[in-house]
Amino acid sequence: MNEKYALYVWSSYGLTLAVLMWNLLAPYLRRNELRRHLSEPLEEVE
Amino acid sequence: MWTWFHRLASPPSFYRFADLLAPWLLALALLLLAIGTYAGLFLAPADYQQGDAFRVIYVHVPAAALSLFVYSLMAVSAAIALIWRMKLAECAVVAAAPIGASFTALALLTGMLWGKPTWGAYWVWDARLTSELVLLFLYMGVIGLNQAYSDARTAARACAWLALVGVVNVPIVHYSVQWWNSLHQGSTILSLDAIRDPKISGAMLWPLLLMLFGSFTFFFAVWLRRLQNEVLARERGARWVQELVPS
Amino acid sequence: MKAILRAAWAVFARELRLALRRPAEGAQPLVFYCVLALLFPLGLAAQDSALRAFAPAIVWVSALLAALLGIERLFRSDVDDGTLELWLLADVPTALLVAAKLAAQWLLIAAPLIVVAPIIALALNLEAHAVRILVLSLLLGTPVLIFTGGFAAALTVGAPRAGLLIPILVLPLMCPALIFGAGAVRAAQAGLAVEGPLYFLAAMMVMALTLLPWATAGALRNALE
Repeated sequence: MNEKYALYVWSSYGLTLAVLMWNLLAPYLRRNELRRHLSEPLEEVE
Repeated sequence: MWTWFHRLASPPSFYRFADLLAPWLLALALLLLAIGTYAGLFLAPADYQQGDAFRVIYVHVPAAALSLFVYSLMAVSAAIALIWRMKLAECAVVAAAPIGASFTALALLTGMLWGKPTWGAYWVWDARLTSELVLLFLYMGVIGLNQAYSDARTAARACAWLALVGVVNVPIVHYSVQWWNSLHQGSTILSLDAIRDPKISGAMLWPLLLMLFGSFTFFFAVWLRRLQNEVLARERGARWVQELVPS
Repeated sequence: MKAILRAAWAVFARELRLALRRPAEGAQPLVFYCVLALLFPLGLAAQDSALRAFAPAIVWVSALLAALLGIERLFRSDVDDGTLELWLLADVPTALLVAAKLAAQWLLIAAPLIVVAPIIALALNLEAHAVRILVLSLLLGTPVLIFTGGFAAALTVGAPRAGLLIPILVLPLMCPALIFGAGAVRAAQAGLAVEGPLYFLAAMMVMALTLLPWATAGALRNALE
């Protein structure tokens, strides 16, 4: 790959990877948090 | 067909349906994205004008396409939510906003990274860039509005109103900026656009199509997951949720 | 029909009466507008010739911010004293009452700005023709600002912590008005035709006046449910 553009291309692919990872992780973490909440007795929710 | 649709829209059956569908969608998406990325970076020939800089297209165009598509989807869900008061549609609006915002930001950032080597500037105030930026603000407005309310339903319906008004707004912004540019500078950007959208050859095109398909599938997979979370949070008192969670 | 108009008039008159009881508070947007617009020259070098080029943007952005100043509180007192619930129960389209209220707000907030704008514009070295176009553009554009602000206020009325959110909600909705409003003035400065941007502004005003009250009413109904 041409050196001149490498930085631009790789950083845009890196950003894309970061966005994809965030989109994958965020709902997963939220779901775990929700499940933890839900397994507590109902009175304590909220 | 309609009974099927109604049954699907009920929270418990939707939840199970999403549980079945999401892993497959995600696997397909990751496969497509992996092949597309490899092909885009290593198999596609370098552009004769832009050299390797054009490879940004494989992440930029899917992100930009998704940013617009997700907003339209959000607006359609908003209309359904407001007209038929469908709970799932309300969740859909709220669940789509963060994903859309992230891809809009990605489209803007990769666009800047592409613009620097090809246009010589990270940013120009042309119609596409400006309306994309406005789109990001609209998404952020929806996210912020959703968090400002303590009641999830009120929040979601307020977001739905904002999404609807916003969808009228986006084309207005686009054309107003176009007019604004035409008054000021010549159509330098138009000729730059021609560089940006070259007549694309087959060897360059197929990785792009893979990436487009992959991104859209990816969106649907994570959207389903977020929708599940929304449904779960709202129905926390319902019996099917209690049965779902091992206590 | 007559009853409906009477109700709208009652809302309009009430709004004016309430504002006139507290003239000092009502003058705040105007003072804010003047201060803001006159701060910009202080940020530039003295006698900077760039001021004239920036003047349309300065006058318009200041008007936009002044219109946003008190918008957060727009419906809050109506919610607190129960007026809004009566609106929603009334036999009159809520959108019409909303429009009447916003029209009164325009008269209270925007009209004084338009009166003062020529003086500020002269202080920013705009020439007479551009000042005339500025007034015209503000006449057409400020209803858009007020009605969009009203919509944002309605969206956040049930959320007490949403004060900082309003600028984010409003910015994307207001930027076309800013582009055409300031654009008309710039066109006048450059000796170009001003009809184009002014027609666009007029079209946006018509859209804002006809569509936004419905969305505002819907958002209010939602917030109070």
